[in-house]
Amino acid sequence: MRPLTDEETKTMFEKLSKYIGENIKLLIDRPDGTYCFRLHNDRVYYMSEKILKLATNISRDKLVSVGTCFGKFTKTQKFRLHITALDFLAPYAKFKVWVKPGSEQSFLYGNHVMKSGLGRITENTAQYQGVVVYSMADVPLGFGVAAKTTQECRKVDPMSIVVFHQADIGEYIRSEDTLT
Amino acid sequence: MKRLYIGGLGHTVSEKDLKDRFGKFGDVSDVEIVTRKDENGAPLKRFGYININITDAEYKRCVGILNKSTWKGGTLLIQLAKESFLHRLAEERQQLVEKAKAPKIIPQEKLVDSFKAAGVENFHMKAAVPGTEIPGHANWVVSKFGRVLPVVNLKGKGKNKVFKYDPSKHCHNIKRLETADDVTSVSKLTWEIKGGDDEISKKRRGEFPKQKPCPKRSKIDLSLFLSNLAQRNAMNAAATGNKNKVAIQQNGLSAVKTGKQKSVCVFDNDSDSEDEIRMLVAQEHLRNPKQTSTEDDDDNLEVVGDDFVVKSNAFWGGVEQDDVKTSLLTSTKDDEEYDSADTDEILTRRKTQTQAESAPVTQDSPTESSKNKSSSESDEGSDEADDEDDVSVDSDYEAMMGNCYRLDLSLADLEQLAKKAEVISDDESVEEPKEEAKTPSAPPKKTGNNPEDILASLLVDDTPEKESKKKKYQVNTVSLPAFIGTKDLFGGPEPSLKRLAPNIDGESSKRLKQDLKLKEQSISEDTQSSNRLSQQKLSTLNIQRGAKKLESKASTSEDDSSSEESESSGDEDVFTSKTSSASQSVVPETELKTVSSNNSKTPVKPNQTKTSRSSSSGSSSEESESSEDEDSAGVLTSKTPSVAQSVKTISKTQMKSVSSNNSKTPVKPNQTKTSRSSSSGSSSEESESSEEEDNAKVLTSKTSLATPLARTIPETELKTVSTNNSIKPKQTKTSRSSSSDSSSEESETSDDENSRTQTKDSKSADSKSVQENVVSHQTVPHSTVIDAKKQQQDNQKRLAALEQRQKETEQQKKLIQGALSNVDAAKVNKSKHIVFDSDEDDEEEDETTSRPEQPPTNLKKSLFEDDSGSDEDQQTSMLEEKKNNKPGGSKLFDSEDEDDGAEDEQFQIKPQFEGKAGQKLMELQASFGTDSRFQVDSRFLESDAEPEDQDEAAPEEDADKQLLEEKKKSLDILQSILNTNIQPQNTRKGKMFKDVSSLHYDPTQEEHTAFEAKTEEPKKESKAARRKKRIEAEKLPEVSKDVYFDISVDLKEVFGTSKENQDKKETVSWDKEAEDPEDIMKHMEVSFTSNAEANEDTSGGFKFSFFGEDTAVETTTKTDEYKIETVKGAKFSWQADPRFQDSSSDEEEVDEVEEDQSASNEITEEPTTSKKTFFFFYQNDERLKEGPGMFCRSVKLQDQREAWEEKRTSLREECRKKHRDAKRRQRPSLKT
Repeated sequence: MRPLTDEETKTMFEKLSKYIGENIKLLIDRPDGTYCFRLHNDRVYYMSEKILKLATNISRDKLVSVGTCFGKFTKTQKFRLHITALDFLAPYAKFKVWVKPGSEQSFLYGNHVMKSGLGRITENTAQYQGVVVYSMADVPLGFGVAAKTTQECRKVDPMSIVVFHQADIGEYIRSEDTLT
Repeated sequence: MKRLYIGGLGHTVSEKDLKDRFGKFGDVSDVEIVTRKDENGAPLKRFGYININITDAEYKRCVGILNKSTWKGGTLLIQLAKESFLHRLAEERQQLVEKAKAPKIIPQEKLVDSFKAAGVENFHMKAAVPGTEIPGHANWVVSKFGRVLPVVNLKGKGKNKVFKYDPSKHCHNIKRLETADDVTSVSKLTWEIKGGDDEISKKRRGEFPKQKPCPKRSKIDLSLFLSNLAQRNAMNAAATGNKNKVAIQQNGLSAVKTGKQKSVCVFDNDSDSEDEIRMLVAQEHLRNPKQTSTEDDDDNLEVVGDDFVVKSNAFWGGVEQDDVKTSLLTSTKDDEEYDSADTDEILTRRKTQTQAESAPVTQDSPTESSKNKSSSESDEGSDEADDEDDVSVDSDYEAMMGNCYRLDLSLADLEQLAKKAEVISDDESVEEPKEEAKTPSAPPKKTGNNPEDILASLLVDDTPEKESKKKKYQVNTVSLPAFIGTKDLFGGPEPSLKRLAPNIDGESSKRLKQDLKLKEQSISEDTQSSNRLSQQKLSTLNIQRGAKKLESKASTSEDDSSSEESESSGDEDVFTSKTSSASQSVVPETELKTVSSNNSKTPVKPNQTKTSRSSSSGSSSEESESSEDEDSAGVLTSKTPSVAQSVKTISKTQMKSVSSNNSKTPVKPNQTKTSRSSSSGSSSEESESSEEEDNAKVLTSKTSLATPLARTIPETELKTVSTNNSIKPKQTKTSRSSSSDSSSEESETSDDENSRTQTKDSKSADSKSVQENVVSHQTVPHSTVIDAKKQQQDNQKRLAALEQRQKETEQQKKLIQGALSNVDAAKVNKSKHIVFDSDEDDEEEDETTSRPEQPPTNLKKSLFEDDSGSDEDQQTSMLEEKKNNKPGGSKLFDSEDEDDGAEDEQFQIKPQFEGKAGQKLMELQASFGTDSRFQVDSRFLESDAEPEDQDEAAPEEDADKQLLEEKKKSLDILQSILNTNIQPQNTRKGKMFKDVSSLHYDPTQEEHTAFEAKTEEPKKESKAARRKKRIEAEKLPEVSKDVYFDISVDLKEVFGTSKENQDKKETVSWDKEAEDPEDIMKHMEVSFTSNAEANEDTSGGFKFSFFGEDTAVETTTKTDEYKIETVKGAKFSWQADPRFQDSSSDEEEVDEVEEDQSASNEITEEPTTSKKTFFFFYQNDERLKEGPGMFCRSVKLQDQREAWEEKRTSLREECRKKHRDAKRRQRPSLKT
């Protein structure tokens, strides 16, 4: 477990900023204590200072997970967000997409969001903008990338993809063993 | 004969017609016509049946002719019908009759006969090929071995198919069974097992012998039961009293055996061993209780005595503790209940502590006495007498000392004393067994006499009790049933138990009650004599002694009489003593007797104490208890010097008691010390109590005292506490305790004594208390020995708990000491007087030294006893004595003060142990023990110890720093990514969730200033609004102080003139009216000005310019000012217009404002100029001039019209333009 290098921090922040923009600051600079990102097994964990100190008592090879996993760095040094980060992204998300109840399940099985299933969308959403997907009951379901802008979404046909699926809370079940 | 149906008959067809018509074809026997009708009764259908004897040809002809032929309005339909059931029935019956007449033919025989005819014999056809059919029988086939078998038709399962099973086709499956020669028929099979006469075979046969009661089994069960009991005991008590247990078992067994022998009935059921035992016990009890009791007593005494000796040798404090425990067994349960409350009580009832302490002490003695009582009072008396006779005074004394030693062991503080007393304790151990051995020898004969006497005394006591106070009586009554219950419980299981139970429950309970009453009585008597505490002790001593003497027949008549009297009168006294006045009369006699007895033994009280000690080995504890009680009583009673003096005397006589009462009186500590030295088991409790007192003056802490004796103490303490608070509760508690433990009774008495002492200044006679203690102790060993079997079991169980308690209490003490050492330093110093150099010799020396002081008290006491009437005088004299005694006590204390200091030091935090380094040092020291040679001082401290600490702290700081740096870095990166300026927050001042609803404004907190409405808050408004405001501010005429001031000043002058004017214009009606209000206003203003002044004070910066500086001015001037103000208000109302005017342009407003200002100036000046004041107008008012102009045309009508025409066009254009604009504006909104 080590702190992120500048490079890694940058890639991660770039990714995060797609979803929550400058609200990353609120994750780093929290009023309720010192929180930090740590890299362990190519995964980035977000934890409080307290937990960090506790985790120092555990050897690296035995440590499975600590704090909250935000995502992992791929072999090509790209950052991929995990669904576990949703709890921290959802409250700060700038652009949101609400999915109709009918297509909720479809999204939760890992499918993209179609225009037909699109219930609501934040205006001025740019193309390829990271969005957090909510159910109509405002339950965060996951996040994705807007395939179309808000304006385009109006005109597009019902079966066209509006939001690319990236992660959903169904992964907690589907990929339980790989989620750490 | 056929039955025909003829349908379609006409309505008119009759039966006869039918008969005639069908008569042609045959003989018609029966005709029946049926008519079907609808709901209304109209015939729908008509048909008939006929029975006709007809041939088939005739029937065909008939059908051919008549069928479908119309006849009388109907088309006939002729069909064959079923026979009528009546006809059929008749036929069947006829057939049955015929069958019965016909001979029966068996088909089997028929078959066999037919087979025979076909050449088949016994279903065997010889020389027949399988498959050949038997002629005449279609379904019979020859099968293998020439058997003739039937062909079977089997119905397929679930199918309608029928399989034909031809056995000839399955011949190959058939085998021939070779039948054995000797074939046994089923009836000849072995239906019975042949066996001998042994039980197993019989049981196999199902023959069970009649159940016989086996005597061996019952015995085994009993022994098992006993062993179980012993096991329980063993479980409870780890080490102590194995021998006692064995003895109990043996006794129990023997008792059971005896009971069996005597018992006639035999119990068939082995399972109900306990019940059997109970029954046996009951039977035994009924038949000859006396015999069993005597035997039991003998056995118990022997066994216990041996055990006791062993115990005493094995465990220093164990014997007495065990005894106490045994005595406590019954009461321990109650104690346990109170255990948890001990600490709380300590905290809550510090003041009552002394009382509680006294109670526990007394309890110990009661327990002992209770044991004795339980065994037998006569035994006690005899034992005591024996002790006195046989054992020298010195031996008893040594025993006492031994008790002290045990106490010391229990108490950490008394370690020094313990070391000194070790030799003594050894002596005691040797001596005690002797005494014990003697005790068993004591004749039981006297027991009967004594109990009876006691009972009589009790009865006597009961009546007075009832008469005197119902409450106590109630308590006693309540306690009685409990005792009975215990009897039942104990009596059932074992004879030994029975013995114990009868002894304890029946006799002891009564005796205990009696004793308690007696004690109380004696106490009351003592109190009457003036020294209640001392009296109580004396009375108890007297009673005990009297009993002993009676038993031994060596006791003085005085003692006996006194004991009896004390018993009889004691109850009354107790009850009265609570009232506090009445009991005194009875007391003197008993006291005198006691004193006399004491005196006879030893002229001086110190001597008495010695004698008492000599007489009773264990009495020392009681003495100490009594002394404690006295001390506590003294503390409680008054904390007055007089009490302290009495305590001092006591202490001197008793010896050097460890610190006693709460620092209030130095004498008390002495007493406690003496008690420690004197008392063996009880001394530990006392010392604990004294320590506790010293530490925190916590009475309850005594309850927590861990010594085995202390077990009794908690209960007693609790009880005492309650008693202290209210006498009634004490009684109740005591009654409870008495049921279980006799000690509780003693505690009750002690409580009563305490209470009495509290109420009245207690002048305690040391000797008396000592005597009491002695008596109790004497009684104790015997009783313990006798009761030990029972009690030991329970006691052993509770021993472990007591030890735990001890530890806890010690810890508590330490904590309390540490906490209170600083807080109550002054008091503690006074109170803590612990003398550790008190050995036997020291005690004696102390006694000798104290004797000179004590004798006066004794003399006085004796005098007082003689003078039964003069209680008050005695008290006063006692006080004086005490005062005299004080100096000696103080000397003792002086020596003790050093010890106190040492104690204090123990709990002081030594500077070298402060801090982490100090902690390490302390640990090091602890590892090497306390030996100074091995003490590891600061030199051994590693120099890098502190740096280590720093190093430890450093990484944390580093980590924090690193985290901060990391955060900064990440923020920088984030900044670079977002290309925005991100400032790190002040971490601690971030957003925190605040519940607004729970927010309360606290003016003392600076943060809450935000919630205050700021008067000078710059509001950010739009420019226009700001400008408007500015304009408005400009519009508003400045109300400068100067202006008003000037006006007011002017008005002062004006006032006079206005008055003059008013005078001149009296004729004017409205003016006159105005004047009247003015007069009213004058009055009003007086008050108003005063109010105004107040307002000025209260309303800080707000000042009325009118009144501000003019408060000194006369009220008249003020009235003028008021008037002016009203006038001004009017003006402003006029001027208020511009504010509401539509200000199209700012300039206009400014002009207006200027005008207004000028106007206001004018107006303000007007009143000065125009001295006549009307309500609204002034003389030469401009408005009046302007007004009329409004009603007249200033311009000609034509000119006006022309101007209108010109204006009109422009107005129209403007209107259209506006309309257009509005339309244009509306459109986009619609679009959107």
